Amino acid sequence: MRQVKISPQGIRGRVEDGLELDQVIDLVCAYACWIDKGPVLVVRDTRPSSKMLLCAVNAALSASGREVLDAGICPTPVGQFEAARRGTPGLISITGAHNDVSWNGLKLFGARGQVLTSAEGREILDLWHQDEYHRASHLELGEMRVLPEVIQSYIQQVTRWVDRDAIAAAKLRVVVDACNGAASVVIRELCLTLGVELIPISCEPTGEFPHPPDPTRRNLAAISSIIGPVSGAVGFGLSSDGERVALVTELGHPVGREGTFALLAEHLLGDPLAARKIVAGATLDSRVNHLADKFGAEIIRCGVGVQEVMSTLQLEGASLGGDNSGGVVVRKTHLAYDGLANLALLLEAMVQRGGAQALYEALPLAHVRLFTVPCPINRAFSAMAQVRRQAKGRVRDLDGVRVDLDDGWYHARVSNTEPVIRIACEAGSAEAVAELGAMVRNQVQAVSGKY
Amino acid sequence: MHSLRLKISVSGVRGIVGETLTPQLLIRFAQAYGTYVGPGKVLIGRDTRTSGPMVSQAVCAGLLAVGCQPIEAGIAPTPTIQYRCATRTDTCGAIVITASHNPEEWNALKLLTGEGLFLSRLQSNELLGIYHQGAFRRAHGAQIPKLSQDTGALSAHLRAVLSQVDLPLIKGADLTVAADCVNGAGAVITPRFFEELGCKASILHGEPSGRFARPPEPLPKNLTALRELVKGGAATVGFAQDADADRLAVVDEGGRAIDGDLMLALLIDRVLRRTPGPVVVNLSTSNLIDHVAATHKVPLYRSPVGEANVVEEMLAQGAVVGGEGSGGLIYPAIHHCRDSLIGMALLLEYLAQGGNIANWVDALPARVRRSEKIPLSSTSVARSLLFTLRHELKDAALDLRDGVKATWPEGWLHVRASNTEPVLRLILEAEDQTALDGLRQRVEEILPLTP
Repeated sequence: MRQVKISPQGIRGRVEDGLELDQVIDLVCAYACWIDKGPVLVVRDTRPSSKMLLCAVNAALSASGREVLDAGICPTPVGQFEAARRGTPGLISITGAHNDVSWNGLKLFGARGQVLTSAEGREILDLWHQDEYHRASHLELGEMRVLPEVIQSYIQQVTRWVDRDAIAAAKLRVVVDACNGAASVVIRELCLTLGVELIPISCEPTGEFPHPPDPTRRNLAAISSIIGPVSGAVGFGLSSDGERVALVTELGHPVGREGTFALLAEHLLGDPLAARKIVAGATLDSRVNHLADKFGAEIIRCGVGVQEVMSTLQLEGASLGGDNSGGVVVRKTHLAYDGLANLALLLEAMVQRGGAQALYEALPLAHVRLFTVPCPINRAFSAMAQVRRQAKGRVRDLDGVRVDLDDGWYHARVSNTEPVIRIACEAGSAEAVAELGAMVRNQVQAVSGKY
Repeated sequence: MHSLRLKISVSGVRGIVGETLTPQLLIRFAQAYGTYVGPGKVLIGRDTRTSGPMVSQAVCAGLLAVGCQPIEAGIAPTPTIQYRCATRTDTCGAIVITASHNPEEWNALKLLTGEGLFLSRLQSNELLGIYHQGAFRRAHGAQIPKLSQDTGALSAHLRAVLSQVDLPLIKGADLTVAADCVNGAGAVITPRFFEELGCKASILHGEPSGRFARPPEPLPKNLTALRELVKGGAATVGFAQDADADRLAVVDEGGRAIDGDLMLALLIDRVLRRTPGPVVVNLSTSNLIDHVAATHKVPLYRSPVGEANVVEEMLAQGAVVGGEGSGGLIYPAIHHCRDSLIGMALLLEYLAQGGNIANWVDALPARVRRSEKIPLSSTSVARSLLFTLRHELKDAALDLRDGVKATWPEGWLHVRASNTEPVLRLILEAEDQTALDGLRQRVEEILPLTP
């Protein structure tokens, strides 16, 4: 089966046998019909195939009569910041995000770098299905311009989002693994500006990923092994387009990307001025509930992924939103999953509260497991129905099925970016959570088949 | 019936930007081509059309996807790319983005082999097979090559052309010339070419803007401005190129646009004076070339119409020179391709030696020629008409390699189906008008000629 997923957020697929260039072009042509008049900002991550997709995107936008502003290799959130600063009606980020180097895709954004709502995304797909695009004549073709340096103004803004002087005064030594992704072009300058010393691991924009570009616990191993010997105060892992960030303590303990939300929530809810409302994706663990209780905040559960989180956050006027991917939107910065800004906020938190290990130890314990089950697209929703049928507990339809049990919960959903079912679960012990995970996986596989 | 707005054939793909020549189509075609010739390096050049950058991006994306490495040479004449491709040992092919003599809203891909030659009919059919099958090679995401540039193509071609003529002689002659580059690819090399030859040049339409100031086909009726310039005494001789500078037209000392066959006869004579050897021209070219070949006592061979066919026959016969009456000298000492620059260089050398183009041409034996189009209700009736013609003209010597060519002692006629329009092309040539009328009478009895 072709490894590709087209969704209201864009397209993602395996370059070799999923991502078809004519589909990419069609989608971009449909997108060009949907956005308002004006130029489109294009950023990309470091993958070898990103330049290829840039050529395709350039051709499609130009043929649709759209001027292209090519900001080169640049993290997605920095692209969103730049699009907002310039007021561009469109932004496309070329990235395979957390997927390994054999994948790539496009993330589409609305005016000023805003995350599309799923309804907006579906309008674009409707235009695509209609297969009728604006074709500019040879005198109306869009020009392609390469933008000079866009990261400077972004970095200046980050220093305004955090207490830069407090961070600098702590003279921290920070280990960062950017997985040779797009964050590589920002991280040195950012650390310099924040007054911290950078110990870089894989911070070259080569696109050669030494491990999958997703800051899961396993992929934080390089930081864990080096942080003691180099006497680092904290370590951070980033995804290939800089949306996700995860923390490693000075003792080498990887908190993992699913802990980022709780770390940031603890820090930001400490501010008495912050809105007492937080938006949490359906798969976030019980630590969120504990924090909400502690700070007297309301917790609003929503679907998983930046699209769901962002629209709920805006609707509810929440101060913070996120899911268990390591992507967190902090309202007082900007409306993006911004791993770099969040990195700076976590530095601020540890400076204020006695170090990274202290932050981690302040969090309650949670036994959480994530599973990914490959599932053909044409079976995905049947698999969901099966999980729902067999549920014994309180069932909620939240971007899939969430089932709350007496001593834990599980959630199963269809991925928006890959042909897989994602399962998350939490229970009272490591054994119980493994058992729970196996049960849900079996329910899915009864429908998907093992392939 | 109007002519086609898009043509995918053995000569590549050609269409109108904003209507038929879409990035989707271009990407598929580039993938098919890259699958056929690659994996390896592919040189890419383009003429000045405003759609060149868009088409180039689409082509690069398609090539990268199938694991080919595009090398962009920027704006350059077709013969420059052909020469560069042949002399670089590391390329497996080249694509020139040009619709040649078609109007500015058109664009097309000219597809070359690693030797810098047009694909033969056989090779083109294999490529079309891949295109229609849609089964393209796919590169793994980690193995998508990098884009690169070639900035030396123009200089290399210029050096090669200049090395073929007596530079000091031409420089010493202090020639005054005029050239019409039709705002095409010739504009980026022709002024420098004259400078190197020490000629004082008036350049018409020398901005490489892609906004063609006259129809780009260098027909006598399109060269009024150039003829006026020469007539007014501003130049001894005038040269005109098409948009990709493979074709050449000449305005003689008297301001007369010379017929392409006559110019070819003169150029072939120039070459045979230095290197006698076999000559190849197409079936529609004038018998004046037979006269020139006979003067030099060398054999003449004919091929079907089209540069690829002429070149194929030249290679088979070991020809020292060849060409087509539509304005292209092929001089293998540089490369097997039509090249306006070598044509101009040889004529300037002739003038520097004291030659006179008008006098030479006037001294040729008298010939009467007529060419016309026979409109058809559809392309499919061409074959039966040609079949009838062939059976009715049994008294002539017949050559059936490209339509029907019938030769009698007093003249010949050639009827062939067009590749681009639903018409038959008829060319008649005889020693005098009476004989020509007689031949046309014969055709009129068989084919529906317009009076």
